[in-house]
Amino acid sequence: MSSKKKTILKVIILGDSGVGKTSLMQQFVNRKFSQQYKATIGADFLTKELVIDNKNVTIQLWDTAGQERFQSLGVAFYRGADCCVLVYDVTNNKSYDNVVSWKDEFLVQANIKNPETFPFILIGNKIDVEENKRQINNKKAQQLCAQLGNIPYFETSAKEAVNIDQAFDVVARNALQQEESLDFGDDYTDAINIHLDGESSTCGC
Amino acid sequence: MNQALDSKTLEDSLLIVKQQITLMRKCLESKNPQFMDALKHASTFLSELRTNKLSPKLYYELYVLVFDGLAYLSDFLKESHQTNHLADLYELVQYAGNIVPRLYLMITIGSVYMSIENAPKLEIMKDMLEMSAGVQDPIRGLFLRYYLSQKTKELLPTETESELKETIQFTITNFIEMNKLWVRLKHQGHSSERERRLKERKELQILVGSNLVRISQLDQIDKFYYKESILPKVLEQIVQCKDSLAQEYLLDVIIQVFPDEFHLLTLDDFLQSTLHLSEGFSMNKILVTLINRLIDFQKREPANVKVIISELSTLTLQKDEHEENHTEESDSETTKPQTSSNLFEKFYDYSHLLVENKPELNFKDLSLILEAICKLSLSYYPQDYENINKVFGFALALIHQTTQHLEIWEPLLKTPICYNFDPKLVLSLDDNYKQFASALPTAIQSANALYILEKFLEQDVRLSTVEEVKTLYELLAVWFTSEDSSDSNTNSLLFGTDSSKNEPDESPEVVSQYEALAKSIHLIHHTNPYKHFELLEIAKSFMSKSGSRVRYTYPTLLFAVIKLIRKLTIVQKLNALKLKQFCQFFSATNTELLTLVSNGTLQSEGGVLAQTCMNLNLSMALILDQSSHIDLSYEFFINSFVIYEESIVDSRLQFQCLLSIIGTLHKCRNIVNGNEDNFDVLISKTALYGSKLLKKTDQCRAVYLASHLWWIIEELDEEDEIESETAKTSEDELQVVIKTDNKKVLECLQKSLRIADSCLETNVSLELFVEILSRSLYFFIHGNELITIKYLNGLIELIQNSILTIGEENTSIDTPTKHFQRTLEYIRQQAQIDSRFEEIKDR
Repeated sequence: MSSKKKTILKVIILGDSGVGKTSLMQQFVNRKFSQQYKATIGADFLTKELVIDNKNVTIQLWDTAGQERFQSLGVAFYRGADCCVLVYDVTNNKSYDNVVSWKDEFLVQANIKNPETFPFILIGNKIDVEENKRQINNKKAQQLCAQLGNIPYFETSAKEAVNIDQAFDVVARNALQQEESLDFGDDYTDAINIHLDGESSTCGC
Repeated sequence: MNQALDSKTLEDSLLIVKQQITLMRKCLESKNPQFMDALKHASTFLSELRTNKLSPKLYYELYVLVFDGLAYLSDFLKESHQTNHLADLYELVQYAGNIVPRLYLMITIGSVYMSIENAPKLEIMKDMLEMSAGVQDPIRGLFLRYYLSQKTKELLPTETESELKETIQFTITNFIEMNKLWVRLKHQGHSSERERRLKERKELQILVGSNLVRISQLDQIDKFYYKESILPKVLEQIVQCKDSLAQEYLLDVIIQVFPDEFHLLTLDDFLQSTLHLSEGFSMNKILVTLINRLIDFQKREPANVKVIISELSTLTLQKDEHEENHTEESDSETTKPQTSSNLFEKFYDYSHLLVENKPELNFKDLSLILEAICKLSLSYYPQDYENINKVFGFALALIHQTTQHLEIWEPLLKTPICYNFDPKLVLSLDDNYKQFASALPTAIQSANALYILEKFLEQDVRLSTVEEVKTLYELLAVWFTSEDSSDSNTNSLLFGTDSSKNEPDESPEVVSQYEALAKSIHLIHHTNPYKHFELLEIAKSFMSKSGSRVRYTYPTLLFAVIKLIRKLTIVQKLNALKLKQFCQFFSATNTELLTLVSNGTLQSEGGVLAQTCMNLNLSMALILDQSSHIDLSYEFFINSFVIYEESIVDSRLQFQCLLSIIGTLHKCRNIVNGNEDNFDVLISKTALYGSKLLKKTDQCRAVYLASHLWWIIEELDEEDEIESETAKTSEDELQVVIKTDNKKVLECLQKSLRIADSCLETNVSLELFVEILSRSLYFFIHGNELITIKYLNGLIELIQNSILTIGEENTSIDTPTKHFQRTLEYIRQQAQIDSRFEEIKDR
């Protein structure tokens, strides 16, 4: 019965404008990289079929606009996420500093029930640049991971396709775990219970 | 209240959608899927989207949930399309009762159908697009079309050229329809709700923009295709919709989502179209965004920019030839004026067109646009100052048309210095810049001047030509004139002379300006000291206009001259004739400063300034002595004495000045050797001044210090001392004798002793006695034969008696007593290495 069940994993990618969220996604889904810079407007997603431990899953990656003015409708699409990927640019201190606020913003907006166990992943992108341009070293990134609750960390290059699959493999696994824990949790029955309440109140009117 | 109602509606709807999704999934995921039931549940939750009670933001929340729910349906359909024939299902859902659920279902099935091999993709696309026209309510229609765009995005065919064309047509049509819905929302409802409509429209903008994102994601489109087939259509719609909100947003989206090289290539088209936009459109935002993008592009990929610009120029050339062949020579010029591939010229010409075509444009917008153009030029053509001159010429013309809100021009004024690595750029600008600056309020000019100067100081930019020095100080001109012309003159007219006397508690701004100005003198530099001097003269000609504030800058200027003389002395190239010039310059400047003191402008500050003038003179005298110009040196000493006599009136300052005089004279060498008579005049005069001081203590100390002027001995370096440590007894060989006059020294000491003795308070006398003992010991050690053991013993006895008289227990003499004890201790130590000391009595 459960084999019939199709799993859709919703993953949100967050980070400052220009850190390479779209590029990471493009590299993972389409194996493409473009040097051209195009800003993302609103929210956009790509899907990819994956097999994890003999299980077919569809991973839905939501790319978001780093610039707030392009989120005029708000961020309702955070809801129902199974995993959140936080991205910063290793050549940009500011993007690193903002990681924490992206995480907090996500927890607030996505209405996560158990923030302590919700899976986050940290990605430091653009490791293809020369060493002297790099502003955040591995040690500093590890510190941040510890601070965020020992979340997994990957250093990637969307440009040269370094570590992309490894990172998204962990993303998918953690997302799957999260999805399963919710599915068999009380969420399922909750909906029906409330439904009955709702029904009676409409009758009353 | 409305909001509370809204969120209640939302809560109810979300609940229904959640349960229906759960039920739908149960149907789909059971062993024997009940597809028709699932469809029914889907239809039920889709009906919630029919609401017209939600604001766009809340409707979006509902939409997101529905979207996630429909994803399960899509997945099921895809897995089971063998059994559930999609073409049939696509027909089947057309019978759903309500149009909103019907179309969502249709798009869900249609998009899965598109993903199946050999499906009639293009037909499905066309059909879905046409059917979507069935929903004409703006909010529901926009979301439905957004759903269409989201579901089809990864499926749009682009293999062949005709497919690509269809795909683009599909997306652009959807874009145009969405834009129409969006604009129409403006005209809906009561006019009192206009504010709310505007807010709602702003929230919805993202949906319309998503179509442009879609097009930008098609990799098959290159920049030429974009220029020929995409941009014109999109711009046409933007211009035609005549809605400033839509225009502003969509142009912003174009700038953001398409790559930089596309913008470079299509700049003319883009700028042209903006001339036709409706009133109320905020031109500056778009232009500033565009220019900032181009600047970033240049910063990020300078090589790439070069390639594209050269492509652009060949393209323009071809186009020109093309046109010349086809049209009459005369009117080709008038219709298409933009033939240059120079980005600056494009924008600059455009800014003129803007002023002509858009009279409603305000100055604030224009100032921001010009600022952006200025930045663009600095980024793309950093060496081309002519561009910047043009911008300021234009700005000058604009600023003459208004006298209001001039402060809006400040950022533009600062741009050349702010966005360039080389501050010297600002010196190369022509008169336009200066005129523009001087047309602005004084406070702004002043702040800009400080900003410029600080940049120069920060980077230690040397000023080495007449032009540079002149231009820099011309840029700072506002500081030199403001004080005299504005406040003090009018004040003195109104309130009599007192107010101008009652001067300077300077504001912190002025102080920091003049501090920077004084520092700027050190930026002046020329390898040839005489040329350097000429530059200083020029600097002075500017500084001299600042009234009493020259007191902040002249001292630095004078030290700069002293520095030059020292340099020339070291390399032994001091030309006597030139030196005279230096001295004249120095004296004249110093005299100007003194005038400030004598005419009382500065009041209490005057004494300190007089002291500074005297010290400057002394420094000059010393450097002239060192360079062997002893007659000149003598003159400057005499001048210093004149200042001392005439301008130093405060007794404490007098004492301090006298110390400076003694110290300086003591350092002189050449004048002592060359013209000892002159030197004697100077030192006798000094000792005389000392004896005439107001307070006895000052008199006494000045006189015993003056005694050193008759006993100038140069100790040799420490190294030499260490070498000959064993031969300590033959001290004479360790020092160079400049001047020794036993008698005069003794006279001075005696005189100071007499003054000390005449003090009324015995404890003060005692203190002075001990000090004189120390001096005497110095002369004894260094071989003044008149300072004998007997003399020293006499002094010691005098002190001991004095202590006894006052009484050892008296606390008022603690300090001198301790000093005395330490002196005796010193004598005992000396006795071990110098047998002469053994004879000194001590107990």
